Amino acid sequence: MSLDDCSDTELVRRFKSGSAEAFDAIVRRFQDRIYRLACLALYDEQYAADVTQEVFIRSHKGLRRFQFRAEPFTWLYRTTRLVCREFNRKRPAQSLDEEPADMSALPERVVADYDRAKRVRELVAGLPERQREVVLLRLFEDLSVRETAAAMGCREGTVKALLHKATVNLEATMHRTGFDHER
Amino acid sequence: MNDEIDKLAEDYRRIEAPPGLSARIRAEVANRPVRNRGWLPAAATAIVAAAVIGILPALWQTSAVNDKPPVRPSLSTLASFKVERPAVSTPRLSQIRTPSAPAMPKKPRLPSGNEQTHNELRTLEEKDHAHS
Repeated sequence: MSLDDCSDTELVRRFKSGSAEAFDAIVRRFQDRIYRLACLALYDEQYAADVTQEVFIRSHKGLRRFQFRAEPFTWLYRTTRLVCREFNRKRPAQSLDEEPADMSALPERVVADYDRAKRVRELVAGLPERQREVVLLRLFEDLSVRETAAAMGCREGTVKALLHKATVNLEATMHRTGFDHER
Repeated sequence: MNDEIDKLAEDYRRIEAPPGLSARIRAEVANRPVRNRGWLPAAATAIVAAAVIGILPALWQTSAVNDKPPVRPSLSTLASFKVERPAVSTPRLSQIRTPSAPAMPKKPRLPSGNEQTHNELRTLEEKDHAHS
């Protein structure tokens, strides 16, 4: 069985037993998800890339002590949240309307991603932090209620309640702002 | 779930990490070799084991002493510890602590009944004389 076909847990197990290829596979599998979370938390492509890099550097050390009490993504998500908070403390606050200075120099795909991240973030930004978190994990990252609860460190009932409130609020915001998917 | 939220989630999932990010991470991880600290628990165990091995003989010796029957001194030995009284008499402790108080003055003698009446009459006469 190739590494890309392995489960998340199996990948981490192989990495713990000393396989460098397993770590590369972990990076390939999770980098987009970590980058997206960081994009929405920081609203800056460059910082999001830096956060993703930092998360994987920490996971290279931390996953060696992983006890398999939770899913590897849950562990990575918690590390991402922590690193994002650290980056947010260090850098000055950035407005939602503020664009990177060298936007024209960026590749088209990156600009499109930036616009997408901006649209999504504009809609999600109005939600309280816990509701935003539940939307990202449960709706966007498609985690189960149990995994979302484990990632957020709360009960499954709390996740369900937060999700209901967040959905109502998000729909209201989308109607108010006239959200256009094809924009 | 609402269709619009589905579309929003779809937009979100189309965000991808920059192409060179995984190579950057690989290079960064390679530059920071993880120090192998796997020997630390083994070293700690060895130190504890050495300490236990060092302490055990001492514990064994103590228990060997404890196993011996208790020493019972003879009466003649105990008599040798008897304290001899000094030849000179020493004051008692209670005498040292409470110094003797000075003697109280004598109680004045009260006059008898006839003497008292005589004295009272004389006082009244003196008063009358003074008023006149």
